[in-house]
Amino acid sequence: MNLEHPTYVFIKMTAGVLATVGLYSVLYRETKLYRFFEHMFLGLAAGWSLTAIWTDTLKDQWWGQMVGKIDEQTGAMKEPAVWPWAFVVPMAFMAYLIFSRKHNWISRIPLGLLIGLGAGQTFLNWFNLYGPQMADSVKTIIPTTFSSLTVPPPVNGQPDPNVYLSQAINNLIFVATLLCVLSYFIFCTEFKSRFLKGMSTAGRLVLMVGFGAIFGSTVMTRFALFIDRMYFVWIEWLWRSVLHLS
Amino acid sequence: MQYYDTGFLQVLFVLLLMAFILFNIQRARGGKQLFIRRIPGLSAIDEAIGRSTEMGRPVLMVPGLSGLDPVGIQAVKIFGYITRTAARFATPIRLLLANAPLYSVATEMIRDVYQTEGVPERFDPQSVRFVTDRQFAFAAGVAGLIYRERVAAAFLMGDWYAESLIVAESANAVGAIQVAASTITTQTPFLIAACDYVMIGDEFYAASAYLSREPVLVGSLVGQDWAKLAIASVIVLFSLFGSVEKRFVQQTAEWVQEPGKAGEYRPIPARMKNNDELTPLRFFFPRKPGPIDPPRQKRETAPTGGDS
Amino acid sequence: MIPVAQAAQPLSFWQAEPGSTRMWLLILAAVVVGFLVVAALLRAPTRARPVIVSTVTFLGGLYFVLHFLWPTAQDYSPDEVPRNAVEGFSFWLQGTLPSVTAFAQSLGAMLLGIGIYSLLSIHLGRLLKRQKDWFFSLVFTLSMAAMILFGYWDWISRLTPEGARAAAETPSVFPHFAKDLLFGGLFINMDAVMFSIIAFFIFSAAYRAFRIRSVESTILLGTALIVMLGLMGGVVVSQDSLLNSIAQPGESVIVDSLRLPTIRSWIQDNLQSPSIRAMEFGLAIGGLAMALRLWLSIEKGVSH
Repeated sequence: MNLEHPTYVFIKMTAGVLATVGLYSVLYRETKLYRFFEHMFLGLAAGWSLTAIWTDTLKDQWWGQMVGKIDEQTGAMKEPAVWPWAFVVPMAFMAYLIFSRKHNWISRIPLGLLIGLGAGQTFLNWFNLYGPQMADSVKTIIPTTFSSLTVPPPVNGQPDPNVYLSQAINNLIFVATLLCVLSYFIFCTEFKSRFLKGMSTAGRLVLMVGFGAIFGSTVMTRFALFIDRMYFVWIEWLWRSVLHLS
Repeated sequence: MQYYDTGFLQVLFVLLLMAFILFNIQRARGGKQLFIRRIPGLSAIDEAIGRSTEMGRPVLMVPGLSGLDPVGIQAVKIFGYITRTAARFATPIRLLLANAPLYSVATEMIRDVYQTEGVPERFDPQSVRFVTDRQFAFAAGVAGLIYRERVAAAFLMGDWYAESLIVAESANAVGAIQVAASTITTQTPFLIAACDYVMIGDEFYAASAYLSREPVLVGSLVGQDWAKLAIASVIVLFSLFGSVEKRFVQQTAEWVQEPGKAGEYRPIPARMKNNDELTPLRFFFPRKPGPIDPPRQKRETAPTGGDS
Repeated sequence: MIPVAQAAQPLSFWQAEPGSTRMWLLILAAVVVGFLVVAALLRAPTRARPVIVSTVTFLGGLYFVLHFLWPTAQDYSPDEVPRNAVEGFSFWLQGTLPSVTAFAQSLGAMLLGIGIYSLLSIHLGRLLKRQKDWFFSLVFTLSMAAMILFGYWDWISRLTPEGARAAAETPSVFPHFAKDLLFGGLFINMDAVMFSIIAFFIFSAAYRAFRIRSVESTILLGTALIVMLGLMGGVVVSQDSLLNSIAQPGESVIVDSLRLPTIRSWIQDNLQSPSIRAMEFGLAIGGLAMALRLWLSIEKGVSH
């Protein structure tokens, strides 16, 4: 019997269905059924985190480096042991002193180190993350031709380098939208001129358009997940596995 | 960071942004009074805590899935200000986290708040809790606590992903006032639909300056404004420059770089520039230099054993 | 940092033969020295504490700041000799990067225990004192214990090639079926359940926003509706057939502009993209400022 055995698959699916019913019950109200599955979920999650932290991270990233590697066939050294990795243990121990009333400040040393490393990485990665977005926001806003309002179909499949009027207008709207929204996020200047106030207000309104577009495009994917779950409960489990209908 | 071609300009640009921030922090420390506009949502904090105090129900604070990074620490800092008010009125708090290192920092920071307020005995270590680091188990746990403890106010600030709606709607179901701020832009629309007050974008970062009026934070916020103006200027100036260049300057040479060789311009018949040939774009996409000259010598033995 | 290992060269001071007595002694010595440093730190005067924390934070950040500012050697390769001191330092920075990253990840991973302690102190406390909901704390504790037990047991059983083959061909009730049931049957399913539950909440949140009827919520939901309709195949086909009766695609610019997918992509390209990007620039600057304040320890309440 292996993990694909129909009886076991049915048991596994039934467990999934029970979990679905239990967690969905919160839509009615928080019942003992929900509480039971919630605690089971949290327990399994904590247990899995404690398992994965060793198998996925510490085993290779820390232990494997500290004790090195030996070729099991030949017994020769594949990678030397780098013993200073052992210093990570007292370093981590310092963080655990957070539970000490007297020495809890010590925990700030490893945490401070992690904060410092994280902050440094922010500087290092900043331009790599946002530079391309700035580059993509640089638009050509002057038309190079007035031969057509819109972009004509490509000739011989060659891209047309021209900027047509409709493209220039769209690009101008793009840059103007970006500036309006940025002006909304200016905090330390009181906008006195009507133009700047208008820009800032327009910025907030156009943000709502952006949010609406995200909302609209996400709704469908969320419903797809719900349909997928219902398919699992009604078709895969009830229809096919319990009632044995095809 | 690469220094070849125009690459060093990128480093200078980031340094300029950092200089704006540090300069203004220094200016504010020097006693310069700086203005901050009103931030909708923050005025709701006192109302929400007042309501919790009247009803005798806890104030819930959750930084979403934030880790030990600027976002997570900023969220906990805002929670520190909320806790300060809650501590004065002995209103119970619940701070739930999904990241163990951030949980450690939060425990220390919240404990500090009670100590600074002179009521260390009111700090309940179990009011700051690690729930789990698994996204949807976290959502299930937070939702469960919201229903069981019937929280009167929920502050959801930080890195919120898909789980945001589960928590926000659960808080709504028990009649809690919800104040939210997500740094994950794709989640903000859902929070706007579900919550009473939402701080948008970097209003999240402005919140601590607004609440505390600490010179360092206010100065930093002014510097951030300058930095945003710098970004806006780059986009506007480069767009104008690029547009004029595209309209009036023709491409007469093509940049060719074969693998392992230095690049060079080769003359071509004059034609309109493609967008990626515009001069401002060189700022963002510097060109790779040719091969190293003189070449480096090889080490005597090839290294193994990775990088340790 | 530790120098690059050389297979054909004698081991450096920082390295040892795997499994050798020297290795275990050095590891033990490192742990003991580390704990002695901790013991010394326990005696640090109150005034020195913020300085220690700030210095450590600064040094941590400095490593990446040097990466950021120091000229990067072109086409770095660990089997080449740097040509000068500037390149040499860049080589060191690039060579140590994986170790520093692994160090940060390992240290962060080891702190999970702090969170688990927080959870257990709540649940075991409730269980032992038979407080309200103790039964659910029992469920939590048993689920966690079972997941750890079968998770590790299953993992250990697969470490050897024979074990991995046996687990695939003739799995046993304990640990293979037990682990699969807990992980694949329950945990993964529960994850999917909570993700799918969002569909209900989207609906209820949208309904509430619709009832508010402010200008902003109307714009938000109006745009959402247009974009949603533009993504619905049935609606798009019906609208297309209606518009095609007026003009075929490509015949009229005005009619083509009224097609839902065109409107949707126009909104997404020209309004959504720049507005969300501007917001992200603001967040990026906010994050940069916060990182700067944290690195220099001028953010109150964190390092001191």
